[in-house]
Amino acid sequence: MGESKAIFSVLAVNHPGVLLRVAGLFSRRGFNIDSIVACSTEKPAFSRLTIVVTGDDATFTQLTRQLLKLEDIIKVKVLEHENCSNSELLLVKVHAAGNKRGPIVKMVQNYGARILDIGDQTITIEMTGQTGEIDDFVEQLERYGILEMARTGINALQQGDLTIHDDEK
Amino acid sequence: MLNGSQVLMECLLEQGVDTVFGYPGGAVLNIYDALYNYRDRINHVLTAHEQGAAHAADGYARSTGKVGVCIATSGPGATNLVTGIATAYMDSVPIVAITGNVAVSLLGRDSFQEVDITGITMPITKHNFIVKNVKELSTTVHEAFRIAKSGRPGPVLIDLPKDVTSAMVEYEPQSYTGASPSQPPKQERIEMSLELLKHSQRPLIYFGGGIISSDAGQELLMLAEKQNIPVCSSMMGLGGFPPSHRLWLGMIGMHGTLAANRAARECDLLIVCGARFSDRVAGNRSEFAPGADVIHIDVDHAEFDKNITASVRVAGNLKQVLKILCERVGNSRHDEWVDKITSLKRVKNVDTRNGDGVPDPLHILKTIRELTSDDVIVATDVGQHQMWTVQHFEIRKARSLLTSGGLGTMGYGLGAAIGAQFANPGRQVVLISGDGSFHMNLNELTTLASYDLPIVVFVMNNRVLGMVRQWQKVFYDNRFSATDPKRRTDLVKLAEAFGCTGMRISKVREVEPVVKAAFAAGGPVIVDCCISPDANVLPMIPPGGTVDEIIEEM
Ligand SMILES: Cc1ncc(C[n+]2csc(CCOP(=O)(O)OP(=O)(O)O)c2C)c(N)n1
Ligand SMILES: [Mg+2]
Repeated sequence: MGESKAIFSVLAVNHPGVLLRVAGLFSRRGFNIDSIVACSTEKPAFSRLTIVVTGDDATFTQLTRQLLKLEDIIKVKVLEHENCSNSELLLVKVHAAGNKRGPIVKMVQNYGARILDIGDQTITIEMTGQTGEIDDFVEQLERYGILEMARTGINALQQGDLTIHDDEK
Repeated sequence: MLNGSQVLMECLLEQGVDTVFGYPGGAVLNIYDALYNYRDRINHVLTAHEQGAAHAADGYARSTGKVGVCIATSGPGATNLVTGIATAYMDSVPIVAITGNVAVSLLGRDSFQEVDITGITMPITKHNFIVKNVKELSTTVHEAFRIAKSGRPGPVLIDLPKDVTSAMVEYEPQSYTGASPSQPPKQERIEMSLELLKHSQRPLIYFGGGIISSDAGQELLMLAEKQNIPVCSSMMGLGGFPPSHRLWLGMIGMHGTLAANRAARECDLLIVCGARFSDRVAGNRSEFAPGADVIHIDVDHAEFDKNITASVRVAGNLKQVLKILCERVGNSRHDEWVDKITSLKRVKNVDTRNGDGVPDPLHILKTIRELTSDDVIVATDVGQHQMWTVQHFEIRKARSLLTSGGLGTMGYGLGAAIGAQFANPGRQVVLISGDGSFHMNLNELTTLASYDLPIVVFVMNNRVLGMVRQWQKVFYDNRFSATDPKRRTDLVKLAEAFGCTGMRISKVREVEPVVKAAFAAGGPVIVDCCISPDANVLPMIPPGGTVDEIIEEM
C-alpha cells in the first residue's frame, strides 16, 4: 500500500477536552500525527482541528470513521495537499553575527519572509508558506546556525467555494 | 427549586430507572441523601466493591436491554469502576456510571480523593462528562442515557463535583429520551447484497452481539430459513439463534466448532451481522473466509474494513436491514452445501459410568442445563469454565448469557449475576465460575446474602488457572509458571461464612443429586465442583492459526 500524507480537517464542538479525545484516539489506534492544530472558528460553538497524518487510504477511511464516532466531532473532511489552501507558520532564530547578517537578510527577502527581532548575535525570522517552501528555507538557514525554531504545523481549508459546512453531495 | 442530587433522581426516574448499584462515600453523600428520599422509587443495591456495582449494572443491562446504572464516590470509588466500565465498553453494553468528585473549587489541586476520572475513562467510554454547573445537569443526564443506548450501545460516565450535587436550581421536568434512530440502510447496498445472495452457492451467516442488542433474532432466523443458509456466531451472539436448529453450526473461532470454522473456510459468501472479526474469531485475518465475498451489516461504520475488508457494507440497524432483506430475497436451497457442512457437527458424549470417578465439567454443565428451563440466565467468569459453558450449555434465548467477551474480565460473573437477578426477579440465575476468577471478586457473596438472592454459583474448581495452564501445556512445554496457586480455601465453609449455603460435588454420582439440591435450596448457594486440573478446552485453533491447524484431541 502506498503511504501518503493527508490533511484531516475536523469540525468539533468547542468543549474542553476535545483535543485530548482526538489525540487519544490517534495514539490508541496507532495512527501517527505529523502535526495537529486546534483553534477557534468563525462560530464560537465550534473548534477546528487540522491534523496531518501519514498512512494509506485504508488508514484514512478507518480514521475518518473512528473520528466521527466521537460525540464531539461534527464533521471530518480529508484534504489532499495538492488541492487545498494550506500554509504553516515558522519562527526561527538564527545565528547572525557580523558578516553573516547581509546574506541572511537577503535570503529573508527572497523567500518573502519577515524579520521579527534583531539581537546582538541573532535574527528571529517569521515565515508563512507551504510546508515545502518552509523546509527549503530552513535548510538554507542551517548553514548559519539555527539556534531554535517553532513551526505551527499545517493549517488548511478546502479550495474553491466549498466549506466544511457544505454537505457532501 | 431542587438541589443537584434531587435533579439527578428526577432524571433517573424520567429515564425509567428503578434500580441502581453503588457504594457511598464523601463525594456522593448528597446523592445518597437524595436516594434516601427516593428509596420507594429507586432501589439502591449496595455491593461489596464498586467493581461489583459496575458489573451488576452491566448484568442488568445485558439481561434486559435497558441502561444499567452504577454510582461510586470520587477517587478510589471511581477507579474501582474502571474494569467494569471497560468490560461494558468492549461488549457494547449500555451503562451510565455516575461518580462523585471534589467540589469544583478543589478540582485540579490533588485534593483528598480527587481523581481525573473523565481523563481515565476517555478510552473506555462512548463519551463522558464532568458537570461543573448545576444548570447543565439535567440535560447532561438525559444526553448520557441517549448516547448509551443509541447506535452501538456502550458506557457513558458522568462525573459530579460535590457542590454541583448540592447547588439549587429551578427544575423543569423532562420527558424520556429514547435512542436516536439509525439511518435507514442505503438502497443500493441492499441491492448489492441481494445480488451476491442470489449467486452464492455456499453462503454462511456469521453474527455477533449486534443481533442481541438490536433484538434481531427473529429476522435472522427468517433469513437463514428462507435462504437455507447455515449459521454460526461469535461468543457474543450466543442466544441469538436456536441451538437445536438444523442450520446452527455453533460458535466460530479459537474454541469454536469444526463445522463453523470449516464453513468460514469454504464459503463463497459470508454475511456478517453485528460482528467485528475479533482476533478470537479470525485468528489469521488474511486466511479467514479466503474465498468469500463479505456482506458486512453493522450500525457502527467504524467496524467496516477495520479487521476484514468487506465487499458490501450495509450501515444500519440490523433488525431493519434483515427485515428488508427477508422481504426481498426469494427462497433458495443450498442443500448440498448445508448437508456437507452440518455433517461436521459433533456431539460430545461424557462418560458417566464410573460413579466414583472425578466429575467431568461437561457432565455438570449438561446436568445444570437439564434441570433449568429455557428461561435460565447464565453468567460466567473467564477461563476454561467459560469456554465449556458457551460450547455446551446451549443458550436458548437472547440476553440469557452474561459473559465478558471483549475484555475477558475474570471476576465479572458474580456482579453480573447480581445485576441480572435484580432485573429479572422471577428467573433462575446461574453463575458458572472458575476457582481463579471466583477468588477475584467473591466478596460479592456478601451481597447475595444481604439481599437473599437465589443465585446458584457453580465453581468449576480445577484448583488451577486452567486456561493459562492449558496454554502453558500447548505452547510452553508444561512450564506451569504461577498457574497452580495451591489455595486451600474451603468453598463450602466460605459460603457458610458469608451466610450462603455451601455444597460440594467431588464424584460423578454426586453430580445430579447435588445440582438438584442446589436449585431446591432457595437462597444463595455455592457449589464447589471438584474437577480435574487436566481437563482441556477443545477444539482449539492456535492464535494466528487457521482451521487447518485445529486441535481436536489432546
Ligand atoms: C482480571 C484478569 N486477570 C487475568 C486474566 C488472564 N486469565 C485468563 S483465564 C485465566 C485463568 C482463569 O482461572 P479460573 O477462573 O480458575 O478458570 P479456569 O480456566 O481454571 O476454568 C487467567 C489468569 C484475565 N482474563 N482476567
Ligand atoms: Mg480454575
